[in-house]
Amino acid sequence: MSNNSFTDLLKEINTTKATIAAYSPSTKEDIQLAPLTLQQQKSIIESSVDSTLASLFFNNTFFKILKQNLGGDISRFDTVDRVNFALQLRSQLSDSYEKNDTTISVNDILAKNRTIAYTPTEKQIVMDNYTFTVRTPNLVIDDKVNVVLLNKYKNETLNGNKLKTLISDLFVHEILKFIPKLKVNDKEILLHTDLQAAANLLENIDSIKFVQITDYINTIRDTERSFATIPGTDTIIDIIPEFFIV
Amino acid sequence: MISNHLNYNINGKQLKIREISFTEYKNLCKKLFTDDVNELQAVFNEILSSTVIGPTLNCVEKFYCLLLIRNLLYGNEFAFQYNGINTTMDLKTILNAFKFTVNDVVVTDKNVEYHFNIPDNLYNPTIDRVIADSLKKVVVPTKEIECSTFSYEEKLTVINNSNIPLQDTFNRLQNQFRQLNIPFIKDIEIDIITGTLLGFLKRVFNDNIGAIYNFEYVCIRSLNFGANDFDKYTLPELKIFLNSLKSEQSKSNNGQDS
Repeated sequence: MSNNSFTDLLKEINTTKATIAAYSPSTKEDIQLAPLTLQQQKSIIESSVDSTLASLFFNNTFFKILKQNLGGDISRFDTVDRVNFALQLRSQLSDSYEKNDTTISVNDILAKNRTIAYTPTEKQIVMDNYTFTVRTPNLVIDDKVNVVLLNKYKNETLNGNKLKTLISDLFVHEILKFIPKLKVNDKEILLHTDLQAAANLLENIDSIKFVQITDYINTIRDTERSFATIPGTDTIIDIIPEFFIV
Repeated sequence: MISNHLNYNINGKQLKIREISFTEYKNLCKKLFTDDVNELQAVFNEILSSTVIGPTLNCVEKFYCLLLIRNLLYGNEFAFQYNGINTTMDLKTILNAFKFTVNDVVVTDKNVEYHFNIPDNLYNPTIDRVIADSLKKVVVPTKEIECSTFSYEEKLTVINNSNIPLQDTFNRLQNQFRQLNIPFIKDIEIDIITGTLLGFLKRVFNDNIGAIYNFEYVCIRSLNFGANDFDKYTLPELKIFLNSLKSEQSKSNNGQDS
């Protein structure tokens, strides 16, 4: 074992670390974000498993990183913020990114993103005797739902019926992320307190009642994509593990 | 146990290298029955720690040292098949082609400079571990910290806490270390990162275990050796003994004939 110089060096590295300013579209403020460590870069790359659950693994890993690097209450931020935070963390590693043989400046995308108007709003969707309260999921609820699915499927071999169940579960849980409250007649149910029970409940509702909700979800996912769009083009950057290989 | 050490100067480092005994050689050949690079690394580290006295070595110096040990055992010739053709090469050619130094790779993150050079391990399983193993010095605004006394795990902790780009740093190291590649034959080179050092060492040290047991049997029969005797002699010494015995017997046979 070496001496104090190892501890000194670790201390030095951690104190000389400067946080970076990242823009949160939902709160319209600049927040302080610690840059990605080499270990975090490695964990992102390792989350790139070739499976149907790849995006869940990646989002789960990225959530853990944001929790470490943001500090404070991470539930203040939503999945649209996540796109901007990912771009900011990537730009710290290198501003340039190759997409379709073109070199793109990630900072140009970040600058463009400050001009996008995005205000997260809660909305009521009424379908017969059901009133759904919908809003963009915050990062905590997004992760909790992802974890439910990961725990259910991570050790499964996905073929045949299992794959069908997964697809159906992905659909239900995606909807669940966006619905914090449901009112049936006069009874209000908070869906994000017991996720498993909430998923079971949603499964028993006629899917026709979710049409407007899926439209709403698509609008939010489009907004997320607009934050990942290269300025002046329709080209979208995929925020996937490979994006962080620098 | 053999106690005779030979003096060598490898890249300015004074080393004493002990020849390996027949028993050590036989055990080595048994242990080489694996393709697991981690096991191979452990086998060669064991040889180094039991035979070499001197300062800490990086992977290039270790490789050089092991080839010297190999040549003490078998001589300089190495026979192998290349494209189906039996070929023999003089391993001195390889030893003469060694380069021991490259400039530092310096990766800067804000106010911190990370200096990298030749790694210590003959193989590192992941790219972050290659980076950690190559870490030599960190320069922070107030001081320079030498990392040569750090353990492997400590270096890894330093690297894991840094904000340097993983892939780019590895690519820069790989490019730099390419200068150290050792030409082997035609288009084949031995590089220091991908595990080819271990693969090559396995090839040059490996011997037919059946032939080794036969040789041991002949020694027991002809030289009246017991098990402990094989700890005291090297393979070349035993070969000399057997040759002397043969020549003695042939002289004696010639005497009887005349």
